[in-house]
Amino acid sequence: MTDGVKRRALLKTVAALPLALTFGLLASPFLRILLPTRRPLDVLGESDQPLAEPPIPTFTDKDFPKDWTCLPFMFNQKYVEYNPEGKEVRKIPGFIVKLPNGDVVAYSRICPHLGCIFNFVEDPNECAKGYNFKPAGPVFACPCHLSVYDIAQAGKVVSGPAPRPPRKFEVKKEGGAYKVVALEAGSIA
Amino acid sequence: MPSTTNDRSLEGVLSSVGDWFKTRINNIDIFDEHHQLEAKTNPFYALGPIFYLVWFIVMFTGLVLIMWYVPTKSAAFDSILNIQNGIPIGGLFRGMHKYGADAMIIAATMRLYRMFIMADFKPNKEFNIIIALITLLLSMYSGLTGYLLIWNQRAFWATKVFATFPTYMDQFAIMGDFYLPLYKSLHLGWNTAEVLLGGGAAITQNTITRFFSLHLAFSLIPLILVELYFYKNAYTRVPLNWIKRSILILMLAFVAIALPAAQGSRSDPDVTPLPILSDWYFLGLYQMYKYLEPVVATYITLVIPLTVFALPFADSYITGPEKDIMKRPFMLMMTFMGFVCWVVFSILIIVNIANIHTDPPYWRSFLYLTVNAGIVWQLLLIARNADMKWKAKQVVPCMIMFGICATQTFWAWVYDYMAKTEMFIDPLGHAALYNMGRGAMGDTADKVEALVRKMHPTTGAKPVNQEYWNFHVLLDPGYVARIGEPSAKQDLEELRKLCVETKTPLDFVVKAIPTFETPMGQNGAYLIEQNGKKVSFLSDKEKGAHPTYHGLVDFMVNNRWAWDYCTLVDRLKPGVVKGYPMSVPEVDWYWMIGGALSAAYALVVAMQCKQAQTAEPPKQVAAADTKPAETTGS
Repeated sequence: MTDGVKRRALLKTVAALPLALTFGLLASPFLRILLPTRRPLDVLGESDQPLAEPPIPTFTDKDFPKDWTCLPFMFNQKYVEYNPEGKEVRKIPGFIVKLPNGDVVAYSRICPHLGCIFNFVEDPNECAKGYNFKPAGPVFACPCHLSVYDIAQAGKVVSGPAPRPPRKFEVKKEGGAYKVVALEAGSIA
Repeated sequence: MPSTTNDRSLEGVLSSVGDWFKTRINNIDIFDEHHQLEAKTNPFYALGPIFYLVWFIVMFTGLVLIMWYVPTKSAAFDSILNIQNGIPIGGLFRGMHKYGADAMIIAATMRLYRMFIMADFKPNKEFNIIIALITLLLSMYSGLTGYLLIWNQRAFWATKVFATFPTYMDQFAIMGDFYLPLYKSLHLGWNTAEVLLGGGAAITQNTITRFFSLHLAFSLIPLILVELYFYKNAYTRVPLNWIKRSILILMLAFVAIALPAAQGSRSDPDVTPLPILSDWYFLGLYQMYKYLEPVVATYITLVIPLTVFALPFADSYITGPEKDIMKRPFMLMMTFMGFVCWVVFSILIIVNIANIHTDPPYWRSFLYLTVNAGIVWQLLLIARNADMKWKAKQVVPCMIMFGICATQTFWAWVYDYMAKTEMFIDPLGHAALYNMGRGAMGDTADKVEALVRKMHPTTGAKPVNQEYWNFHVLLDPGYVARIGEPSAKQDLEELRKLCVETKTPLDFVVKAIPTFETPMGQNGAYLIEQNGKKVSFLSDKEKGAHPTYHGLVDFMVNNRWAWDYCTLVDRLKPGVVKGYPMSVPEVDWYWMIGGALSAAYALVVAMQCKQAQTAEPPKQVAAADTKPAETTGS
């Protein structure tokens, strides 16, 4: 009887080994985090950075009759994808604002906190009512979790939980036209 | 937990651990199938069967709804309109599906509270709490995934927030970029968000397809497992007679007809509504996300279920087999605190009256002081108990409660720095570690700090060279030849001299840590074309500019921990940085002191219990004396 039990134990071990090996191999990429690496793992390392896709949003001086004119626009981003078109175009909503000092700046409207779309609030009193904060001038304010960004201070977070200013667009001035040509690289939100 | 054996050998310990798990697994109770007699008289014990019954109703109505539902971005909203208004019983079925899902969440929540209050996890049934919580979480997740399918404004933005918050996991201490000097982040949070959203920041067709699939999976897969379990053990599924079942079904049908399920407005990816709401069970969490730093809020979201897992074990240690809720005030106050926070936060977000700047100290104080009250109450029960024999066994419970209060006190100490300097966990931790290593660095520390402050002022003045920490690359001959000389080169060279030449006793620690810097640079930034091949333009093409840390100083400067320390010190000193140190809100002092006082009291009671162990039993002494022969003989 002991012989039988031994044989069974042996057979079990023999059967278990390939299984353990299979599952071990499956799990090994996840276990690699335990080892100090000589080189970065680069799990997501080099990604194809998205590029601007026409139509490029273009504005002229006539579009900004006065200071703090804020216009919404859509910026097209091309991602390289494995699909019939070889690309996927995503739309990033943005705001382009004329500052009192004459500069024209553009920001992505995606809130850096949790990815909602924020608004342009020109009236400080309206901001105080809806967003728990009374700013000095016009601001961007997100309805989701009440983050407020001061446009005059380069998008600095003046109220609310957001961890950083919203992403900026690169605005190129060609002749009399303002062209939104690129978006600052960054995270999902 | 008392083990089943006193054998302290490895085998004995292993078998008692095995027994510990076996007992609890044998005691598993998924839908109150062990309380079917009580269920006949006490409706709270029928919550499990009710959940199961409603689950079937929801599955059935859901399977009917799938026939008309179209899971695409353009057609989803219209197909719901069609179901609601075009299909003869569509409105009723959709209402029963939606309100059934709500009923499941209500039943699962109430059942969890019942288990805590009635101590259904005693004895040896702590795993049941875990199962009950997983039941609740699965119904919440299938509620959330199903919610998006309506494709209205509220659902759209609730999903956006839900799918984005995992990205903050990448900033966690354990799995995030925090230990980048030690290992590379796997971007678990980012990957989770990518999977949920289907790539990219926007909610796309991928998102709706994935949520549709998950919505089914969250229901169907557990159902198969639960059915197998019931079949194998031959349990009655729903111990309610047909009258009771009909009442339940009719209640759902009545609500579905009286209050047709809301449709909302079509989702618009360009407009976020103010205020943004989610389904009712997530409202409390949403309010919390307004109050807190996103990383902390993400931590708390994950810590809440873990706390619920840990609580029954803590209670088993603290009160033993006691089941009366009034003799378990710690558990009473914990459940009370959780419930009040959830309800109040939900109300605050619905009526939108909260002020995110002034409220947090109040609810922090409420949260901690309620727990402290529970602990002090529990300690009072121990202290005032006259039974010395019982009291002698209460040292461990006291020390557990002391541990909870001590954690709170430690957190209060950290919070004091946070409130004064507005620095959060990661930079504070860096500064603390730097401070510990500062002794080993000697005079060099002062010189390095002066240079770091000069390069990147902590006062917020314009930095001379904010990339100073990357001096190994900036001063590399190849880099200088291609990109140009860095600003403040002299200072950088001095900094490099300090970093390379200073020897400290702790160097061997940091030398074991790789820098993860490659000659190609991040995303191949240092690569140039040469003879058709891409090569690094750094002078050392094999190893790069900075393959290993030269020593502790190098590590501290290169990872910007020195700068974090300078920021902390400068912000704490009045008058150095404008606006700092800030003051700790007065209301916060209540919980900060409350924790320390409760900890002290826990120690006092622990001492009393320790004394009770050595105290002579007052009455049994005489009785024991009458039988001296037996005691010596044994």
